[in-house]
Amino acid sequence: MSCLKDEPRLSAWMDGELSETEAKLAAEHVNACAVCRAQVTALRAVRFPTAEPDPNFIVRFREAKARQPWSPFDLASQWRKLAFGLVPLAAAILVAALLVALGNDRDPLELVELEALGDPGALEVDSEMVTSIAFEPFPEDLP
Amino acid sequence: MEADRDALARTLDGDERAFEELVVRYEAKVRLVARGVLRDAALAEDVAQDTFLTAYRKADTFRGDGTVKSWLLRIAVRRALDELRRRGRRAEGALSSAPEPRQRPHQALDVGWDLDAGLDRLSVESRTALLMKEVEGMSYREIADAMEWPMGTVATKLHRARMELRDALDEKRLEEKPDVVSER
Repeated sequence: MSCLKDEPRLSAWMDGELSETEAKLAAEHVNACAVCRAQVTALRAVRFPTAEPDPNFIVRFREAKARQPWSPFDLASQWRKLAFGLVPLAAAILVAALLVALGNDRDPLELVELEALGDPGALEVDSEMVTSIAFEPFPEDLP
Repeated sequence: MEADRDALARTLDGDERAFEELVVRYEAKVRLVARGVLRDAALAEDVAQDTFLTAYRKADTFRGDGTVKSWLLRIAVRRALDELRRRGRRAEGALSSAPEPRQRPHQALDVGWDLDAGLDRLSVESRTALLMKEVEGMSYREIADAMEWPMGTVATKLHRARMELRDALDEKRLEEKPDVVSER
C-alpha cells in the first residue's frame, strides 16, 4: 500500500469509515510507517470545543415562536397534506379507468367466438362507420 | 433516532411541546455549526433560532430519508451561508473589508489551543464539516446529507481541513517555542 500521509483514506480510517478489508490494510500500513504514525498523532492532537447547552435558548425560542403568525397547522400546510393524501386516490381512479378501457377493447376473434356461442350483439357495429368506410374512395395510385 | 422522529410526528399532530424536545436536544449543536460557518457567536445564535423556527414551520417537509439531526443541521448550514452571503454583499456595498465579529468566536470555550487561527484558514464548508465530525461525531453519511455533498467529497474535505489545522498548530507551536522543531 502506498503511503497514506496525504490521503483522505487516512482520515477515513481514523474516523472508522473504511470497509473492514480497507481498514485492515490501512492499519497494517500505519503500524509499519513512521510518517503515517506521526501524521495520525498530529491530527489527533487537535482538540475541539464542545457544544455547551444554553438553558435560556428554549426560552428565547418560545418568545420568537410566539411572535410568529404561523404554525405547522396553518392553512397552507393543511392543504399541502390534503393534496399529498389525494395522490394515491387519483392514481387508483386512473388505474381503474385504464382497466375499464382495456376491458372494452376485445379481440375480434374473441367477438366472433362470442357470436358463434350465441351472443347476437357481439359483432354489432356502428352502421354509420361501416357506411363511411364502404364509400371511401380507393387511392388513385392503387394498381 | 426514533425519539426525534416521534417528536416530529407529535409536533405535526399538534403537540406544541414535542418540538421543544428537539430544540433542547440540538440547540447546542446547531449553534456550534452555525458558529463554525459564521465565526460569530451572536450571529450564530440568531441563525440557530431561525433554524428552529423554520424547522417548526416546515415540520411536514421532513422527508424521513435521513436523520432529524442532519435535517436540522442542513437547515442551519443553509441559513448560515445565506447570512454570510448577505453580510458579504453588505460589506462590499459599504466598501469595507470583512466585517468585524460582534464577539470573538470560541473565546468562552475550553480548547487546547487557539483554534481560531486554524479554523479561519479553512473554507467555510470545510470547517463546518470538520466541526460536524469532531464535535458532533457525525458519520460521513450524515455530513454528506447535511452539506449536500457526495460521500467521497466528505473524506477529501475533512482530510484537507485536518492537514491545514495541523499546519496551523505547528506554526503556533513554532511561534511559542521557536527552538522546537515541529514533528512532521
